[in-house]
Amino acid sequence: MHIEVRNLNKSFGDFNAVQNVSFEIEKGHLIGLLGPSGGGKTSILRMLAGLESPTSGDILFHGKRVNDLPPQERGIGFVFQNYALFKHMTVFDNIAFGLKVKKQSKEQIRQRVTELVELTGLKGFEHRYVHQLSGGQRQRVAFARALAPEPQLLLLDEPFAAIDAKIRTELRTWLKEMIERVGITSIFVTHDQDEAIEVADEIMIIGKGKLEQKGTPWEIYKNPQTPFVASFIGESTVVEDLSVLKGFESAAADHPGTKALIRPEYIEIGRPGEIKLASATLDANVKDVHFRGSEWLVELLVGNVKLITYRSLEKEVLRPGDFVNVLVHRAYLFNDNDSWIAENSLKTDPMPVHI
Amino acid sequence: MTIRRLWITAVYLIFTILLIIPLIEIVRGSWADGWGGFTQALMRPQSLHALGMTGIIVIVVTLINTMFGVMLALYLVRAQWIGPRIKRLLNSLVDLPFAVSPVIGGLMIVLLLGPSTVIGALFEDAGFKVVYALPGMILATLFVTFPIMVREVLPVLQEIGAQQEEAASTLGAYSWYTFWKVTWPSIRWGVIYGVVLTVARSLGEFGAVLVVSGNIMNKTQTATTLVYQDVENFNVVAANGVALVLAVFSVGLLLLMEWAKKRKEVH
Ligand SMILES: Nc1ncnc2c1ncn2[C@@H]1O[C@H](COP(=O)(O)OP(=O)(O)OP(=O)(O)O)[C@@H](O)[C@H]1O
Ligand SMILES: [Mg+2]
Repeated sequence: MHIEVRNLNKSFGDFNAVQNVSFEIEKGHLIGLLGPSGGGKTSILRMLAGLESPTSGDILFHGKRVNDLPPQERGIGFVFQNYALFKHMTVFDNIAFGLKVKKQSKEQIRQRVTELVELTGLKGFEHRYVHQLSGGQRQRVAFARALAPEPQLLLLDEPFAAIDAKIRTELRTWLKEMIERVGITSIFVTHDQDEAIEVADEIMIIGKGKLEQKGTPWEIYKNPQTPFVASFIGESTVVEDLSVLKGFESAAADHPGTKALIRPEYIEIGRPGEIKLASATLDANVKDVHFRGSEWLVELLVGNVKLITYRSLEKEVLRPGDFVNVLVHRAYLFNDNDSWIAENSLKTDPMPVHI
Repeated sequence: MTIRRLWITAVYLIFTILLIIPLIEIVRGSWADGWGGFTQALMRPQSLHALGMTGIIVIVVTLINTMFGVMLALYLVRAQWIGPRIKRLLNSLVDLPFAVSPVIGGLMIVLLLGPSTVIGALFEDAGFKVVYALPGMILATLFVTFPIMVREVLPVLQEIGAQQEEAASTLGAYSWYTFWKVTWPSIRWGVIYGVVLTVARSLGEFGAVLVVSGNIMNKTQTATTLVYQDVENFNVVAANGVALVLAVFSVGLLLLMEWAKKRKEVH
């Protein structure tokens, strides 16, 4: 289903939970709604589902305004954060609920439920009650129940929030495959950026009720359009005083009050002499190193500015107090009016890239 | 240890004095003249009439209270069109009958709907007697028992939350279907518990009914007000006989309640 939202607003009393949100979603796409807690993600989903009515703005499905359509008529599947399974019903009856409402024949219902039970790997659990299932199994039941009436849009509110990290990665791969196989337009909410990046075709970043940016994970990572997005996606440190960063002084001089946001992957470190562009490097001390499973997390002190970066396990191990050279390849610069990505001017390209 | 044993003994003692001994006394009293005396007391026209009245009141009140109580609880918890302030007001109003003495409740009905008031006169002209008649007695018992069902169902509704119902609505189910298939199974045991309590309470209601009914023999007398009159007339055997019937019902209800309570905890 093609979805369009125009200037959506929702206020609770005098609190604006959602402000002027507009977006469009192509049929068959999987969208991740990402943002900090209390940002308004659930509110947006609930308005799409018709469980909450917008204070103002329009919601269009296939170009038709559905604001006044009750949830029953919208053809939407909703997977709730805590699943909201019918706890006095068996797995079979939970999945069959939407089909019984539609007054399908017993045989049709049995067929469809069996199909979904197999699709979701719940075979053998049909006659269990909800309290006899594990978290992951419940999640699958919720998913199957929402899919049973063949909705045109699937909304998932933090579908993996209640599941432990390991099963979570399994489930989200499974979910992505499942959604691709069924070919249904889907929106899912998450707090977890890895999850959004891994699963979603497109990500929408929601902060304080506003849609900050919408794009593919790569676009958002490469060209964050607001400091909020830049700091939310990936890891980063903010450097308030640009003058300590060699190669970014001109930017600092041209735009007073500009700050830099630096990701670990923008930074290269090496023993003295290891980095070829020696003129562009900064002197730094290793403050601390932490083992992160597949690499070292290195904390650096440049003057009194703290930076972080990662270092391969293959390279020589650094110790706290070691003296190193640091090359900052690029930085995300921002001030009150503008934000852009700047390459280190002492490297080959002398001009910063404005976006 | 000894203190604990003392406490247990005290509890048994109080239990015996307050419940068992009176019950034994009622049984003994009603059998003072043997089986014949007991049946005679119950077969008096006024006994049959009074028990019949009580029966009608219990059935009507329980039916009305169950429906309205469940409905009001649903509205108080779920309805979005009622503002939070009105909800709070209604919520505290529900408890009013618990706070007000039943006699005062009865009196309020007499003062509002009695034959000498405007509304009462209007009803009377239409040929419908409220006070000193069955409708008034039902109204008085309704007033007294009204909070029971709401207070049983409301917390259950709050606890289960609206999400299962919302899930049902996204699956295409409208409110009536959702109520029976999703909400009802969750509140069922709470409602049954509320019904038992309502029956027990309306079976034994005395003060409010006495004021509203005028206690006219063979007309507006209920089992409890008959017991009261029999005692006044020193007709101890008859009083005990009718009281025994009420007591048997109460014990039966008590057992039913225990069973319902267990089921409620399980589900
Ligand atoms: N029914 C309500 N009444 C009042 N305020 C509400 C209501 N529902 C949500 N809010 C407020 O609206 C804001 C957005 O809530 P929402 O649930 O959409 O956030 P969210 O992005 O889903 O957060 P989370 O990630 O923690 O689930 C929050 O500040 C919340 O307190
Ligand atoms: Mg939420």
